[in-house]
Amino acid sequence: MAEEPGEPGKEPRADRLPEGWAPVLTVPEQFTPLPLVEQALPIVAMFAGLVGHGRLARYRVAMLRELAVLPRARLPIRAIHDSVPWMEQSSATRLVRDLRGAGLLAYDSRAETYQLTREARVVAAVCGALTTARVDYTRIIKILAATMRLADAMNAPAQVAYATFLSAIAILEFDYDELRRLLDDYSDESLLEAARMAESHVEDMRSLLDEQADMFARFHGDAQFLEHDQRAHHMIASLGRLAAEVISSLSMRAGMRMRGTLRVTREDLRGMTAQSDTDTLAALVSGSAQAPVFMPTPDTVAAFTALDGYLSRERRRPLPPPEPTDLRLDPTDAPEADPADSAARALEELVAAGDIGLHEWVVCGTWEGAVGRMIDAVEAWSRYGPGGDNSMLVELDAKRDLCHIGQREVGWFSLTMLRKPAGRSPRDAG
Amino acid sequence: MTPVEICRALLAGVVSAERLPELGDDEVRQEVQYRLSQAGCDLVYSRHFDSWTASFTRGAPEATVIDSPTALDSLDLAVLAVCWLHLRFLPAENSRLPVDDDALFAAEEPLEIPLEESEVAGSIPALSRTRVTISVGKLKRARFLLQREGKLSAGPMMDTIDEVRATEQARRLMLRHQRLARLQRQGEEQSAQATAPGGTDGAADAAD
Repeated sequence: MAEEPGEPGKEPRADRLPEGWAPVLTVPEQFTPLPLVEQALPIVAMFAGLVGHGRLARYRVAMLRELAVLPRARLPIRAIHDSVPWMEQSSATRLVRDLRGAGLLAYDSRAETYQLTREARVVAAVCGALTTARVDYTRIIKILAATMRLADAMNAPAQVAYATFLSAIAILEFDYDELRRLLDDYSDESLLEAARMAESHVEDMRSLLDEQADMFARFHGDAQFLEHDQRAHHMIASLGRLAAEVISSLSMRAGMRMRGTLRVTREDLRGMTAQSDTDTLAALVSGSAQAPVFMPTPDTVAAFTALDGYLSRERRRPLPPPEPTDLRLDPTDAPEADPADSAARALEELVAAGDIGLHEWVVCGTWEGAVGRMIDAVEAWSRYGPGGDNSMLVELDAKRDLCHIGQREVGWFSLTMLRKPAGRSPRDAG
Repeated sequence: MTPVEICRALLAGVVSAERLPELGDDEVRQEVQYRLSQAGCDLVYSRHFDSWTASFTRGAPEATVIDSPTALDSLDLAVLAVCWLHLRFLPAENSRLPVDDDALFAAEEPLEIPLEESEVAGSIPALSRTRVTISVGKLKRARFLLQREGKLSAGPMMDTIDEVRATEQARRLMLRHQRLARLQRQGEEQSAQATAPGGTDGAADAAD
């Protein structure tokens, strides 16, 4: 938790320790981390110089950052005034003196210029990097990894990186406990958020181990370090798996909700495809399904199936109309004898020899000839039979039977018998 | 093999990834992709069959203007869609359902159930049986389908289908179908209640 900034002009809090007080140590100082810290104090004290005097701290930090980005190393006071145009010049001069007193600015009396000390440049850079309202917990491992790199660059003792590494493991362990607690709480939203954060921490920790592999190699003879190293890898595996399970499970549940718990059976699928038109179905895959380039061997079954389908369609076609032919035209100037009269005479002659079937006279020559004789016989019967003038000495007796012919292009003939009518003399054809 | 030789192999057929270890190298793969793209082709990987081949680049001219024995028309694609729905969509959808409430997740590969050709034909009554047979034959030759012991299963080219997009569309169609079926059932139930003795009062109440 960040400490509340003190109000300007207020007394220091009662719980702050007096400067003269010192804790009592249980072991000699050389067996404590204090000597290591002692080495860092000169730079840490500069931070104290910057921020240790209440409300002026922000002005000092701001000025230091402005000076650190100037292109010139040696700065006359006028250049400093120009670099902070937002501050009155006399105030800037007083702040410069204050920074000089804290060891952040060095003064060259011969050239009458100021310059940032090496330590001040580091302090300015770190202050710049820390220009943020609060520490983002999702990036905490990244930040620790960056401090390890900084320590390496500063040539700090390896124990510093070691301590940071332990701190990173502690964060993973905290994440793991937090996830387990939220799992028991059934709090989906918090759980998903925590799982995502844990997953990002695991990823950052993997990067940290990769980056700092050289540094960790220095401790490979240290049994305690190996134990911590094992602990780190165990946490990466455990936390990574748990976070992945949680994210997968919650995302799946969300997906189920989005789909309205869609349950598909084969019967449903069949019903859906049966009701969809082919274009809709084709649209499902038309955007991505492309035929392969290779030419496969032909499928003979499909080819013959297609051929059969084609031939089936051919057979179902209606028969074509007959080819056009020229009609036979008979001359009109030489009229022939009436075919009905000829037919009547021929039938009378036939009947004179005894009863006979009509087909005996009709079926002869070609089909056309037979059809013509049949028409003539009917016409003669109409004119000269009982329905006409009853002059024909032939009686036609139509039977219900069919007579099989099978020749001269005639298959069957309706059986009609010709008889001589009783008590009548031959008619005079003239 | 050189990139050119790999391209020749890919254009000739489906090649197992084991036989083309060179494609594991990013530079070689990019070279092969570039050479294929110059001829209007894409490099295609089948996840289920761990194999490579080449397909025509997406967005090629309409198949109807190309006289190609391998081109798939819209009816072939409809048959392919039905096969994909049965062989890939259905198992994938059902594998996402939680089998056990205590299990956080079931991460098993969806189980594909082979199809009978008659089932495909029954799923598209708009197409004749002969037409479905012809389309299935084309899809088998193009390796979208495989036939084993008379049953159809997904082939390596089935992996070229954009499953994310197709799955979303299929879910929409399925939801619409289920909603329509539910409404139809409700309508039938209401009409049955209305015609049943004493059901008219209830119908009148509902109308009120």
